Amino acid sequence: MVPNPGTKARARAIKPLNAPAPVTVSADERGTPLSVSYGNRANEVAAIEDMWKINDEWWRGPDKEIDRVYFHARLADGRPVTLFHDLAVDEWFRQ
Amino acid sequence: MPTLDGKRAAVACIHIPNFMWQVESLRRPDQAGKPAIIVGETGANAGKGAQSVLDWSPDLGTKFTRGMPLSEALADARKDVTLLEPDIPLYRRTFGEVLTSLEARCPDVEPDTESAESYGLGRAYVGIWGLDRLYGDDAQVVRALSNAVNQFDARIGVGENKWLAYIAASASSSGRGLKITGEPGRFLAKLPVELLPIDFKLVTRLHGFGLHTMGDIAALPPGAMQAQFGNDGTLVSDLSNGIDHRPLVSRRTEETVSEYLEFPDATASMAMILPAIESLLFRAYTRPQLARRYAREAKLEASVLRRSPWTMRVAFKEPAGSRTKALFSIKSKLDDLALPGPIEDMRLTLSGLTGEAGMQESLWTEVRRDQKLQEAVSQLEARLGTTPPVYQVRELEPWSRIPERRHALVQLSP
Repeated sequence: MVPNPGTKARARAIKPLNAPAPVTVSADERGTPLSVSYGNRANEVAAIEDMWKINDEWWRGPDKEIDRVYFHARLADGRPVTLFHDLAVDEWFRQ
Repeated sequence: MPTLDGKRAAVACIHIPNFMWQVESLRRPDQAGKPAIIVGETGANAGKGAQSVLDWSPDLGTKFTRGMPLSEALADARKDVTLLEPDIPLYRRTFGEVLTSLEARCPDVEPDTESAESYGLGRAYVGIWGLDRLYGDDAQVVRALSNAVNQFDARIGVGENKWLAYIAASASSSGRGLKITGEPGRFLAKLPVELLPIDFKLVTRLHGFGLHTMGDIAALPPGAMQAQFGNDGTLVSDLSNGIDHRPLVSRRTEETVSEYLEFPDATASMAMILPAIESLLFRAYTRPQLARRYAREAKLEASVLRRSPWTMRVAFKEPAGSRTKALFSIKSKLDDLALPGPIEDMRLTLSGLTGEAGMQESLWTEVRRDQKLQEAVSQLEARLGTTPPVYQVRELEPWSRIPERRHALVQLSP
Protein backbone atom coordinates (compact mmCIF):
# COMPACT_ATOMS: atom_id res chain seq x y z
CA MET A 1 0.00 0.00 0.00
CA VAL A 2 1.24 3.49 -0.83
CA PRO A 3 1.49 5.51 2.37
CA ASN A 4 -0.21 8.89 2.58
CA PRO A 5 2.55 11.49 2.16
CA GLY A 6 0.57 13.90 4.34
CA THR A 7 1.21 16.77 1.95
CA LYS A 8 -1.47 18.87 0.34
CA ALA A 9 -2.10 18.82 -3.39
CA ARG A 10 0.03 21.62 -4.75
CA ALA A 11 -2.52 22.95 -7.17
CA ARG A 12 -1.81 26.52 -6.15
CA ALA A 13 1.99 26.33 -6.54
CA ILE A 14 3.64 28.29 -9.35
CA LYS A 15 5.14 25.89 -11.87
CA PRO A 16 8.04 27.27 -13.93
CA LEU A 17 7.69 26.70 -17.64
CA ASN A 18 10.58 25.44 -19.71
CA ALA A 19 12.47 24.07 -16.68
CA PRO A 20 15.82 22.38 -17.53
CA ALA A 21 15.86 18.57 -17.67
CA PRO A 22 19.15 16.71 -17.10
CA VAL A 23 20.57 14.78 -20.08
CA THR A 24 23.71 12.84 -20.82
CA VAL A 25 25.95 14.45 -23.42
CA SER A 26 29.20 13.35 -24.92
CA ALA A 27 31.29 16.30 -26.02
CA ASP A 28 34.61 16.85 -27.73
CA GLU A 29 37.64 18.40 -26.06
CA ARG A 30 36.35 21.92 -26.87
CA GLY A 31 33.02 21.24 -25.11
CA THR A 32 30.93 20.97 -28.28
CA PRO A 33 28.23 18.27 -27.96
CA LEU A 34 28.56 15.28 -30.29
CA SER A 35 25.62 13.19 -29.08
CA VAL A 36 22.86 13.60 -26.52
CA SER A 37 20.95 10.84 -24.67
CA TYR A 38 17.44 11.20 -23.28
CA GLY A 39 14.46 8.89 -23.16
CA ASN A 40 16.76 5.82 -23.22
CA ARG A 41 17.97 6.78 -26.65
CA ALA A 42 21.20 8.32 -27.92
CA ASN A 43 20.84 10.99 -30.60
CA GLU A 44 23.71 12.10 -32.74
CA VAL A 45 24.19 15.84 -33.17
CA ALA A 46 24.29 16.72 -36.87
CA ALA A 47 24.97 20.44 -36.59
CA ILE A 48 25.39 23.25 -34.07
CA GLU A 49 23.28 26.13 -35.37
CA ASP A 50 23.91 28.64 -32.61
CA MET A 51 25.89 29.03 -29.42
CA TRP A 52 25.83 31.62 -26.63
CA LYS A 53 26.96 32.06 -23.07
CA ILE A 54 25.14 33.28 -19.95
CA ASN A 55 27.10 34.39 -16.89
CA ASP A 56 24.77 35.97 -14.37
CA GLU A 57 24.19 36.42 -10.66
CA TRP A 58 27.88 35.84 -9.91
CA TRP A 59 27.45 38.25 -7.03
CA ARG A 60 25.30 35.67 -5.16
CA GLY A 61 28.29 33.43 -4.57
CA PRO A 62 29.69 30.28 -6.24
CA ASP A 63 26.68 28.10 -5.19
CA LYS A 64 24.06 30.31 -6.84
CA GLU A 65 26.05 31.69 -9.75
CA ILE A 66 24.59 30.98 -13.18
CA ASP A 67 27.28 30.05 -15.68
CA ARG A 68 25.93 28.26 -18.77
CA VAL A 69 27.05 27.65 -22.34
CA TYR A 70 24.03 27.19 -24.63
CA PHE A 71 23.96 25.24 -27.91
CA HIS A 72 21.10 25.26 -30.35
CA ALA A 73 21.70 21.98 -32.16
CA ARG A 74 20.03 19.94 -34.89
CA LEU A 75 19.95 16.19 -34.37
CA ALA A 76 20.64 13.62 -37.06
CA ASP A 77 16.91 12.90 -37.47
CA GLY A 78 16.24 16.60 -38.14
CA ARG A 79 14.78 17.62 -34.76
CA PRO A 80 16.05 20.82 -33.13
CA VAL A 81 17.19 20.79 -29.48
CA THR A 82 18.50 23.41 -27.07
CA LEU A 83 21.18 22.18 -24.67
CA PHE A 84 23.33 23.89 -22.11
CA HIS A 85 26.41 22.96 -20.18
CA ASP A 86 26.17 24.18 -16.58
CA LEU A 87 29.78 25.08 -15.86
CA ALA A 88 29.07 25.70 -12.17
CA VAL A 89 28.20 22.01 -11.54
CA ASP A 90 29.64 20.53 -14.76
CA GLU A 91 26.34 18.94 -15.90
CA TRP A 92 24.34 19.00 -19.14
CA PHE A 93 20.66 19.96 -19.47
CA ARG A 94 18.09 20.14 -22.21
CA GLN A 95 15.80 23.14 -22.30
CA MET B 1 -67.68 37.79 -14.19
CA PRO B 2 -69.23 40.13 -16.82
CA THR B 3 -68.32 39.59 -20.47
CA LEU B 4 -67.56 42.17 -23.14
CA ASP B 5 -71.14 42.24 -24.35
CA GLY B 6 -72.38 42.95 -20.80
CA LYS B 7 -74.00 39.56 -20.26
CA ARG B 8 -73.17 37.37 -17.30
CA ALA B 9 -70.39 34.96 -18.08
CA ALA B 10 -70.94 31.26 -18.10
CA VAL B 11 -68.21 28.86 -17.10
CA ALA B 12 -68.43 25.10 -17.37
CA CYS B 13 -66.42 22.82 -15.11
CA ILE B 14 -65.54 19.37 -16.37
CA HIS B 15 -64.70 17.26 -13.39
CA ILE B 16 -63.44 13.71 -13.86
CA PRO B 17 -63.50 12.21 -10.38
CA ASN B 18 -60.78 9.68 -9.55
CA PHE B 19 -59.09 10.58 -12.83
CA MET B 20 -55.93 8.54 -12.21
CA TRP B 21 -57.95 5.48 -11.35
CA GLN B 22 -60.15 5.96 -14.43
CA VAL B 23 -57.04 6.08 -16.63
CA GLU B 24 -55.73 2.93 -14.95
CA SER B 25 -59.03 1.10 -15.50
CA LEU B 26 -58.99 2.09 -19.18
CA ARG B 27 -55.43 0.80 -19.49
CA ARG B 28 -56.00 -2.36 -17.45
CA PRO B 29 -59.55 -3.57 -18.12
CA ASP B 30 -58.93 -6.51 -15.76
CA GLN B 31 -58.66 -4.02 -12.88
CA ALA B 32 -61.95 -2.28 -13.68
CA GLY B 33 -64.50 -2.84 -10.95
CA LYS B 34 -61.92 -4.02 -8.41
CA PRO B 35 -61.05 -1.87 -5.37
CA ALA B 36 -57.68 -0.18 -5.89
CA ILE B 37 -55.57 2.57 -4.37
CA ILE B 38 -52.93 4.42 -6.38
CA VAL B 39 -49.99 5.01 -4.11
CA GLY B 40 -46.96 7.26 -4.53
CA GLU B 41 -44.76 9.86 -2.96
CA THR B 42 -46.33 13.28 -2.96
CA GLY B 43 -45.91 16.82 -1.65
CA ALA B 44 -43.45 17.30 1.23
CA ASN B 45 -42.86 13.54 1.44
CA ALA B 46 -41.57 13.25 -2.13
CA GLY B 47 -38.16 11.60 -2.22
CA LYS B 48 -38.32 10.48 1.42
CA GLY B 49 -39.86 7.10 0.68
CA ALA B 50 -43.10 7.84 2.56
CA GLN B 51 -46.03 6.51 0.50
CA SER B 52 -49.34 8.28 0.45
CA VAL B 53 -52.66 7.99 -1.36
CA LEU B 54 -52.88 9.67 -4.78
CA ASP B 55 -56.20 8.27 -5.97
CA TRP B 56 -58.58 5.40 -5.39
CA SER B 57 -61.44 3.51 -6.99
CA PRO B 58 -64.87 5.04 -6.29
CA ASP B 59 -66.20 1.85 -4.68
CA LEU B 60 -63.91 2.52 -1.71
CA GLY B 61 -66.17 5.40 -0.72
CA THR B 62 -65.38 8.94 0.38
CA LYS B 63 -63.33 8.24 3.49
CA PHE B 64 -60.01 8.76 1.68
CA THR B 65 -58.27 12.07 1.03
CA ARG B 66 -55.36 12.73 -1.32
CA GLY B 67 -52.05 12.84 0.51
CA MET B 68 -53.34 10.54 3.27
CA PRO B 69 -50.53 8.25 4.57
CA LEU B 70 -50.77 4.75 3.13
CA SER B 71 -50.74 3.11 6.56
CA GLU B 72 -53.80 5.14 7.57
CA ALA B 73 -55.57 4.33 4.30
CA LEU B 74 -54.90 0.59 4.60
CA ALA B 75 -56.41 0.58 8.09
CA ASP B 76 -59.69 1.81 6.55
CA ALA B 77 -59.55 -0.13 3.29
CA ARG B 78 -60.98 -3.50 2.43
CA LYS B 79 -58.66 -6.47 2.55
CA ASP B 80 -58.95 -7.24 -1.17
CA VAL B 81 -57.74 -3.79 -2.20
CA THR B 82 -54.98 -3.65 -4.86
CA LEU B 83 -52.17 -1.11 -4.58
CA LEU B 84 -51.12 0.42 -7.89
CA GLU B 85 -47.97 2.38 -8.67
CA PRO B 86 -48.73 5.70 -10.38
CA ASP B 87 -47.83 6.46 -13.98
CA ILE B 88 -47.89 10.25 -13.76
CA PRO B 89 -46.51 10.83 -17.32
CA LEU B 90 -49.39 8.72 -18.72
CA TYR B 91 -51.98 10.57 -16.63
CA ARG B 92 -50.56 13.93 -17.77
CA ARG B 93 -50.54 12.84 -21.40
CA THR B 94 -54.10 11.54 -21.19
CA PHE B 95 -55.33 14.71 -19.51
CA GLY B 96 -53.53 16.74 -22.20
CA GLU B 97 -55.54 14.78 -24.79
CA VAL B 98 -58.75 15.55 -22.86
CA LEU B 99 -57.90 19.27 -22.89
CA THR B 100 -57.14 19.17 -26.63
CA SER B 101 -60.44 17.42 -27.24
CA LEU B 102 -62.29 20.09 -25.22
CA GLU B 103 -60.46 22.85 -27.11
CA ALA B 104 -61.81 21.41 -30.36
CA ARG B 105 -65.31 22.28 -29.06
CA CYS B 106 -64.63 25.47 -27.06
CA PRO B 107 -61.46 27.55 -27.40
CA ASP B 108 -61.18 28.81 -23.78
CA VAL B 109 -60.02 25.85 -21.70
CA GLU B 110 -58.14 26.16 -18.44
CA PRO B 111 -56.82 23.11 -16.55
CA ASP B 112 -57.30 23.47 -12.81
CA THR B 113 -53.68 23.50 -11.67
CA GLU B 114 -54.65 24.50 -8.15
CA SER B 115 -55.57 20.94 -7.30
CA ALA B 116 -51.89 20.26 -6.69
CA GLU B 117 -52.41 17.07 -4.68
CA SER B 118 -53.86 15.42 -7.79
CA TYR B 119 -51.09 16.90 -9.98
CA GLY B 120 -53.62 19.32 -11.50
CA LEU B 121 -55.32 16.45 -13.31
CA GLY B 122 -58.97 15.64 -13.80
CA ARG B 123 -60.53 19.09 -13.63
CA ALA B 124 -60.82 21.84 -16.24
CA TYR B 125 -62.83 24.99 -16.76
CA VAL B 126 -64.28 26.03 -20.09
CA GLY B 127 -65.54 29.52 -20.97
CA ILE B 128 -68.84 28.90 -22.74
CA TRP B 129 -70.21 32.43 -23.15
CA GLY B 130 -71.16 33.23 -26.72
CA LEU B 131 -71.23 29.57 -27.74
CA ASP B 132 -75.04 29.45 -27.74
CA ARG B 133 -74.96 30.91 -31.25
CA LEU B 134 -72.85 27.99 -32.37
CA TYR B 135 -74.47 25.15 -30.46
CA GLY B 136 -77.90 26.43 -29.49
CA ASP B 137 -78.53 26.64 -25.75
CA ASP B 138 -76.37 25.73 -22.74
CA ALA B 139 -77.69 22.17 -22.76
CA GLN B 140 -76.31 21.67 -26.28
CA VAL B 141 -72.96 23.10 -25.18
CA VAL B 142 -72.85 20.72 -22.23
CA ARG B 143 -73.69 17.86 -24.58
CA ALA B 144 -70.81 18.85 -26.87
CA LEU B 145 -68.42 18.97 -23.90
CA SER B 146 -69.71 15.66 -22.64
CA ASN B 147 -69.00 14.09 -26.04
CA ALA B 148 -65.42 15.35 -25.80
CA VAL B 149 -64.80 13.31 -22.64
CA ASN B 150 -67.12 10.39 -23.35
CA GLN B 151 -64.51 7.75 -22.54
CA PHE B 152 -64.52 8.95 -18.92
CA ASP B 153 -67.14 9.13 -16.22
CA ALA B 154 -67.20 12.94 -16.12
CA ARG B 155 -69.37 15.44 -14.24
CA ILE B 156 -70.21 18.76 -15.86
CA GLY B 157 -71.43 21.86 -14.08
CA VAL B 158 -72.22 25.36 -15.32
CA GLY B 159 -72.17 28.53 -13.27
CA GLU B 160 -71.42 32.24 -13.36
CA ASN B 161 -67.86 31.69 -12.18
CA LYS B 162 -65.35 28.90 -11.72
CA TRP B 163 -66.33 28.15 -8.14
CA LEU B 164 -70.03 27.78 -8.90
CA ALA B 165 -69.25 25.70 -11.97
CA TYR B 166 -67.10 23.40 -9.84
CA ILE B 167 -69.78 23.07 -7.15
CA ALA B 168 -72.37 22.32 -9.84
CA ALA B 169 -70.09 19.65 -11.34
CA SER B 170 -69.50 18.09 -7.90
CA ALA B 171 -73.24 17.94 -7.29
CA SER B 172 -74.16 16.59 -10.72
CA SER B 173 -74.48 12.92 -11.51
CA SER B 174 -72.61 10.89 -14.09
CA GLY B 175 -73.35 11.87 -17.69
CA ARG B 176 -75.62 14.78 -16.73
CA GLY B 177 -74.89 18.48 -16.49
CA LEU B 178 -76.08 20.78 -13.73
CA LYS B 179 -76.43 24.55 -14.01
CA ILE B 180 -76.65 26.93 -11.07
CA THR B 181 -78.94 29.83 -11.86
CA GLY B 182 -80.67 32.47 -9.77
CA GLU B 183 -79.34 32.97 -6.26
CA PRO B 184 -76.29 30.77 -5.75
CA GLY B 185 -76.42 31.32 -1.98
CA ARG B 186 -79.54 29.17 -1.69
CA PHE B 187 -77.84 26.32 -3.55
CA LEU B 188 -74.66 26.58 -1.50
CA ALA B 189 -76.33 27.04 1.91
CA LYS B 190 -76.72 23.34 2.69
CA LEU B 191 -73.34 22.19 1.36
CA PRO B 192 -70.71 21.13 3.93
CA VAL B 193 -67.57 23.20 4.48
CA GLU B 194 -65.46 20.20 3.42
CA LEU B 195 -66.16 21.16 -0.20
CA LEU B 196 -64.28 24.46 0.18
CA PRO B 197 -60.79 24.43 -1.40
CA ILE B 198 -59.02 25.08 1.91
CA ASP B 199 -56.61 23.35 4.25
CA PHE B 200 -57.93 20.48 6.35
CA LYS B 201 -56.85 22.31 9.54
CA LEU B 202 -59.03 25.30 8.63
CA VAL B 203 -61.98 22.97 8.06
CA THR B 204 -61.48 21.64 11.60
CA ARG B 205 -61.33 25.18 12.97
CA LEU B 206 -64.55 26.11 11.15
CA HIS B 207 -66.27 23.13 12.75
CA GLY B 208 -64.86 24.27 16.08
CA PHE B 209 -66.70 27.55 15.65
CA GLY B 210 -69.93 25.74 14.83
CA LEU B 211 -69.69 26.56 11.11
CA HIS B 212 -70.65 23.28 9.46
CA THR B 213 -72.25 24.44 6.22
CA MET B 214 -71.59 27.23 3.74
CA GLY B 215 -74.92 28.73 4.83
CA ASP B 216 -73.51 29.11 8.37
CA ILE B 217 -70.55 31.06 6.95
CA ALA B 218 -72.66 33.16 4.56
CA ALA B 219 -74.81 34.28 7.49
CA LEU B 220 -71.79 35.97 9.10
CA PRO B 221 -70.45 39.36 7.95
CA PRO B 222 -67.24 39.04 5.86
CA GLY B 223 -65.40 41.33 8.31
CA ALA B 224 -65.95 38.89 11.17
CA MET B 225 -64.57 36.00 9.09
CA GLN B 226 -61.57 38.07 8.05
CA ALA B 227 -60.89 39.14 11.66
CA GLN B 228 -60.90 35.53 12.82
CA PHE B 229 -59.25 33.68 9.91
CA GLY B 230 -57.34 36.38 7.99
CA ASN B 231 -57.14 36.09 4.19
CA ASP B 232 -58.52 32.55 4.32
CA GLY B 233 -61.56 33.95 6.13
CA THR B 234 -62.23 36.39 3.27
CA LEU B 235 -61.88 33.60 0.72
CA VAL B 236 -64.18 31.27 2.63
CA SER B 237 -66.78 34.03 3.07
CA ASP B 238 -66.69 34.96 -0.64
CA LEU B 239 -66.96 31.37 -1.82
CA SER B 240 -69.81 30.59 0.57
CA ASN B 241 -71.71 33.53 -0.98
CA GLY B 242 -70.94 32.28 -4.49
CA ILE B 243 -68.41 35.05 -5.19
CA ASP B 244 -65.28 34.10 -7.14
CA HIS B 245 -63.23 36.77 -8.92
CA ARG B 246 -60.64 34.42 -10.40
CA PRO B 247 -60.51 34.95 -14.18
CA LEU B 248 -60.53 32.11 -16.66
CA VAL B 249 -57.05 31.91 -18.15
CA SER B 250 -56.88 29.79 -21.27
CA ARG B 251 -54.23 27.13 -21.51
CA ARG B 252 -51.11 28.03 -23.45
CA THR B 253 -50.69 25.43 -26.09
CA GLU B 254 -47.14 24.48 -26.85
CA GLU B 255 -45.92 22.91 -30.04
CA THR B 256 -43.94 19.78 -29.37
CA VAL B 257 -42.46 16.92 -31.35
CA SER B 258 -42.68 13.50 -29.77
CA GLU B 259 -41.24 10.13 -30.78
CA TYR B 260 -41.60 6.74 -29.12
CA LEU B 261 -39.97 3.32 -29.25
CA GLU B 262 -40.13 0.05 -27.36
CA PHE B 263 -37.10 -2.06 -26.44
CA PRO B 264 -37.25 -5.75 -27.39
CA ASP B 265 -36.26 -6.54 -23.78
CA ALA B 266 -36.06 -4.31 -20.72
CA THR B 267 -32.55 -2.88 -20.55
CA ALA B 268 -30.43 -0.73 -18.26
CA SER B 269 -27.40 -0.79 -20.55
CA MET B 270 -26.26 2.54 -21.95
CA ALA B 271 -24.97 0.64 -25.00
CA MET B 272 -28.64 0.00 -25.86
CA ILE B 273 -30.17 3.21 -24.54
CA LEU B 274 -27.90 5.72 -26.28
CA PRO B 275 -28.49 4.36 -29.82
CA ALA B 276 -32.21 4.35 -28.99
CA ILE B 277 -32.07 8.04 -28.03
CA GLU B 278 -30.08 8.78 -31.18
CA SER B 279 -32.70 7.00 -33.27
CA LEU B 280 -35.52 8.95 -31.59
CA LEU B 281 -33.64 12.21 -32.19
CA PHE B 282 -33.09 11.28 -35.83
CA ARG B 283 -36.80 10.62 -36.28
CA ALA B 284 -37.74 13.83 -34.47
CA TYR B 285 -35.36 16.04 -36.46
CA THR B 286 -36.57 14.64 -39.77
CA ARG B 287 -40.15 15.68 -38.94
CA PRO B 288 -41.36 18.69 -40.97
CA GLN B 289 -42.15 20.64 -37.75
CA LEU B 290 -38.44 20.76 -36.98
CA ALA B 291 -37.21 21.64 -40.46
CA ARG B 292 -34.83 24.59 -40.08
CA ARG B 293 -35.98 24.96 -36.49
CA TYR B 294 -34.41 24.51 -33.09
CA ALA B 295 -35.54 22.92 -29.83
CA ARG B 296 -34.85 24.41 -26.44
CA GLU B 297 -35.76 21.43 -24.28
CA ALA B 298 -35.92 17.65 -24.44
CA LYS B 299 -37.86 15.35 -22.17
CA LEU B 300 -37.22 11.64 -21.91
CA GLU B 301 -39.82 9.36 -20.37
CA ALA B 302 -39.48 5.63 -19.88
CA SER B 303 -41.46 2.82 -18.30
CA VAL B 304 -39.26 1.07 -15.76
CA LEU B 305 -39.67 -2.64 -15.14
CA ARG B 306 -41.80 -3.12 -11.99
CA ARG B 307 -41.20 0.48 -10.87
CA SER B 308 -42.63 3.96 -11.35
CA PRO B 309 -41.88 5.58 -14.72
CA TRP B 310 -38.66 7.54 -15.10
CA THR B 311 -38.52 11.07 -16.49
CA MET B 312 -35.57 13.29 -17.35
CA ARG B 313 -35.71 16.86 -18.60
CA VAL B 314 -32.76 18.43 -20.43
CA ALA B 315 -32.74 22.17 -21.08
CA PHE B 316 -30.32 22.99 -23.87
CA LYS B 317 -27.97 25.86 -23.10
CA GLU B 318 -28.33 26.97 -26.70
CA PRO B 319 -31.23 25.79 -28.88
CA ALA B 320 -30.31 22.52 -30.58
CA GLY B 321 -30.86 22.45 -34.33
CA SER B 322 -29.47 19.00 -35.00
CA ARG B 323 -29.58 15.59 -33.44
CA THR B 324 -25.82 15.62 -32.75
CA LYS B 325 -26.07 18.77 -30.64
CA ALA B 326 -29.13 17.52 -28.81
CA LEU B 327 -27.53 14.11 -28.25
CA PHE B 328 -24.40 15.72 -26.80
CA SER B 329 -26.41 17.56 -24.14
CA ILE B 330 -28.53 14.52 -23.32
CA LYS B 331 -25.43 12.32 -23.04
CA SER B 332 -23.77 14.79 -20.68
CA LYS B 333 -26.77 14.68 -18.38
CA LEU B 334 -27.13 10.90 -18.59
CA ASP B 335 -23.49 10.49 -17.48
CA ASP B 336 -24.39 11.87 -14.05
CA LEU B 337 -27.56 9.84 -13.62
CA ALA B 338 -28.34 6.31 -12.57
CA LEU B 339 -31.46 4.72 -14.04
CA PRO B 340 -33.88 3.36 -11.42
CA GLY B 341 -34.00 -0.02 -13.22
CA PRO B 342 -34.29 -1.70 -16.62
CA ILE B 343 -36.45 0.35 -18.96
CA GLU B 344 -39.04 -1.07 -21.34
CA ASP B 345 -39.72 1.81 -23.70
CA MET B 346 -38.75 5.42 -24.28
CA ARG B 347 -40.54 8.56 -25.36
CA LEU B 348 -38.65 11.66 -26.46
CA THR B 349 -40.43 15.02 -26.55
CA LEU B 350 -38.74 18.11 -27.95
CA SER B 351 -40.31 21.40 -26.91
CA GLY B 352 -39.61 25.12 -26.95
CA LEU B 353 -39.39 25.05 -30.74
CA THR B 354 -37.91 28.19 -32.21
CA GLY B 355 -36.95 29.44 -35.62
CA GLU B 356 -34.06 31.49 -34.30
CA ALA B 357 -30.93 30.31 -36.04
CA GLY B 358 -28.65 33.15 -34.95
CA MET B 359 -26.89 33.47 -31.65
CA GLN B 360 -26.26 36.74 -29.88
CA GLU B 361 -22.54 37.31 -29.82
CA SER B 362 -20.90 39.51 -27.27
CA LEU B 363 -19.27 42.75 -28.35
CA TRP B 364 -16.53 42.15 -25.78
CA THR B 365 -15.48 38.66 -26.81
CA GLU B 366 -12.44 38.64 -24.50
CA VAL B 367 -14.58 39.37 -21.45
CA ARG B 368 -17.13 36.78 -22.52
CA ARG B 369 -14.42 34.18 -23.07
CA ASP B 370 -13.01 34.80 -19.58
CA GLN B 371 -16.47 34.54 -18.06
CA LYS B 372 -17.07 31.21 -19.80
CA LEU B 373 -13.72 29.92 -18.57
CA GLN B 374 -14.42 31.04 -15.01
CA GLU B 375 -17.83 29.38 -15.13
CA ALA B 376 -16.28 26.13 -16.35
CA VAL B 377 -13.68 26.22 -13.53
CA SER B 378 -16.40 26.88 -10.92
CA GLN B 379 -18.42 23.94 -12.23
CA LEU B 380 -15.32 21.71 -12.12
CA GLU B 381 -14.59 22.83 -8.56
CA ALA B 382 -18.14 22.02 -7.50
CA ARG B 383 -17.96 18.61 -9.14
CA LEU B 384 -14.48 17.63 -7.87
CA GLY B 385 -14.91 19.16 -4.43
CA THR B 386 -11.42 20.64 -4.63
CA THR B 387 -9.52 23.25 -6.59
CA PRO B 388 -9.22 21.88 -10.14
CA PRO B 389 -5.68 21.71 -11.58
CA VAL B 390 -6.30 24.28 -14.30
CA TYR B 391 -3.43 26.66 -15.04
CA GLN B 392 -2.71 29.63 -17.19
CA VAL B 393 0.63 30.81 -18.59
CA ARG B 394 1.81 34.05 -17.00
CA GLU B 395 4.77 36.20 -17.91
CA LEU B 396 7.16 36.56 -14.98
CA GLU B 397 10.40 38.09 -16.31
CA PRO B 398 10.05 38.03 -20.09
CA TRP B 399 13.26 40.03 -20.40
CA SER B 400 15.29 37.48 -18.40
CA ARG B 401 18.26 35.82 -20.11
CA ILE B 402 17.46 32.64 -18.13
CA PRO B 403 14.67 30.84 -20.06
CA GLU B 404 12.94 29.14 -17.07
CA ARG B 405 12.36 32.52 -15.43
CA ARG B 406 10.45 34.09 -18.31
CA HIS B 407 7.07 32.30 -17.95
CA ALA B 408 5.30 30.17 -15.36
CA LEU B 409 2.10 28.17 -14.95
CA VAL B 410 -0.16 29.81 -12.38
CA GLN B 411 -3.39 28.44 -10.89
CA LEU B 412 -6.38 29.85 -12.74
CA SER B 413 -8.50 31.56 -10.12
CA PRO B 414 -12.05 32.45 -11.19
